[in-house]
Amino acid sequence: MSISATKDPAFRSYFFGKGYRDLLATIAESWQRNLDSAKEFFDKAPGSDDPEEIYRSCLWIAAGVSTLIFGTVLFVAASALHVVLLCMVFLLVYVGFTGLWLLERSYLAIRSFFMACPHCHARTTIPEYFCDGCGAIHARLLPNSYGIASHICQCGKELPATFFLDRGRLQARCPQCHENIAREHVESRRIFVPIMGGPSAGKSAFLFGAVRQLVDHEAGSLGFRAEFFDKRSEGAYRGVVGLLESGRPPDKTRDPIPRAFNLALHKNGRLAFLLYLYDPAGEAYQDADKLAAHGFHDYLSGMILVVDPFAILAVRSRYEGELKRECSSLKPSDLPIEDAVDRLLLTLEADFGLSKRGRVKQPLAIVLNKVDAFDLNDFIGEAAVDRALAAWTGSQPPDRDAVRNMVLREQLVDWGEQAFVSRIEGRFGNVRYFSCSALGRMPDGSRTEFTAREVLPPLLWIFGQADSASFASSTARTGT
Amino acid sequence: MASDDVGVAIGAILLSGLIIAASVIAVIIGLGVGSLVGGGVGFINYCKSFRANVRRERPGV
Repeated sequence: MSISATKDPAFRSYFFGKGYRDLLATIAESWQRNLDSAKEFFDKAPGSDDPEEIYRSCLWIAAGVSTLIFGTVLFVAASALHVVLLCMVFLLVYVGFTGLWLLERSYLAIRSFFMACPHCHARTTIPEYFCDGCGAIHARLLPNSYGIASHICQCGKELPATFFLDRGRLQARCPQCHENIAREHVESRRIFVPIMGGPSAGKSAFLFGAVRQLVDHEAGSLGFRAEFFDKRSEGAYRGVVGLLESGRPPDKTRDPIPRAFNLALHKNGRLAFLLYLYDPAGEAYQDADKLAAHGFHDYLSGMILVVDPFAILAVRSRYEGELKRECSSLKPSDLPIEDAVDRLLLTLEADFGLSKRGRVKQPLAIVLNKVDAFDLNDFIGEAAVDRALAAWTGSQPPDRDAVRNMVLREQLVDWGEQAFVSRIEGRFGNVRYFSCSALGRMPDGSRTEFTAREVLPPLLWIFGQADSASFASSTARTGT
Repeated sequence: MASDDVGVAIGAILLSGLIIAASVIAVIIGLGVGSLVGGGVGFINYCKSFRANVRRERPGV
């Protein structure tokens, strides 16, 4: 394909720019040449009385007149043919790149391929790509007027302009924050799960406890091989796990706009899923403006709300005496549990297109944490589930997960959180209740390792909702 | 006498026809040669203009 130079680092298709300038210049020059030729013939006619010279003059004049008449006829015909051919090729190119663009768009949409920036959370169809010849940035390396299947960089390098020609081999960057983006952040199946909750609810301990169980045990039984996707994620994991192993809880998360923690799940030697787990500082849920920066709400697969039972007034009252002694180790969250949800809903309505009465379709796991504290296990832990199962009088054997769901929901209502439960169930279409101990025991200053309990089921439930076929065994385990 | 007049008339008609036919043929030949000359010059001029103006702008790869 012919191309011409533009301000973009690629050459625009000849048929979308220079072709028409060339056409006009050709027409103008051809007309001028015809006039010059005719004038040349007329100038050659000698002015003489000699019959032979008169005869010769007649021939030159006839040639000049012929050039004016027939030359103009041919000029008009050639110009028309030039215009028609140019327009036909323009149409062919237009149809070609539109067809390929539609095909690629459809394919990417079906595969749910889009760019999700792990740094700033921007979502775009494709990232910006670097030319592998000169490093120039190509913002729209798509089938368009710069080329159907490939673009020519101004350095002369031919760059694939479609997914089908392995465009992903080029280094990419986020158009918004300009951080480099790995290919898998565009072309892979991904699951996006933010861990939400107020300050000191135990989100980081929950996240890394769940990842630890997934990496060390559960991934293999699900048929996956878990691997840290990048050094930053691995570094964060090693740091927190090191603390947990030495009996220290994770440090407080400071960043209200978290980078994604990426974990790759491989199956049969290929990347099956790339997990994006977000752990924002709890303070983000005290300020709707900070939540607005959580761009991942635009494409999330599900949400986990970690609830500190000690943020509930009735629980605080019940354990008032114990809390006075253990306040520094338990660090009860001071954000009422409904506040986090209210701010989240406000943000979803203001910035992410949720209507005032709309329901969030993505699954929401409500996880009551700190079940290890005092005798909370009897109310929201497995002991409470065992007791409810023993007291079951129905004809059908009950499903343990369904019973747990019921027990936790009723307990929240008993603790005076009917408004919270109603709000959650009114605005979220798919809610499930879980309980866990993100640290596994009360922090008591000892150096005994913290080992999380029951932290993985909420995450696996979300994964199962995102792809029931791939997480079939986990959905069977979580009873969905 | 009458047959002579008829003969002259026929001769005149034939001569006129011949002259007209020769003129038409001359005009046709003139137009043909003219179109060849004029069209040829026009064609060459368009080709020269095309060659001078139509070119891709891209670096050698």
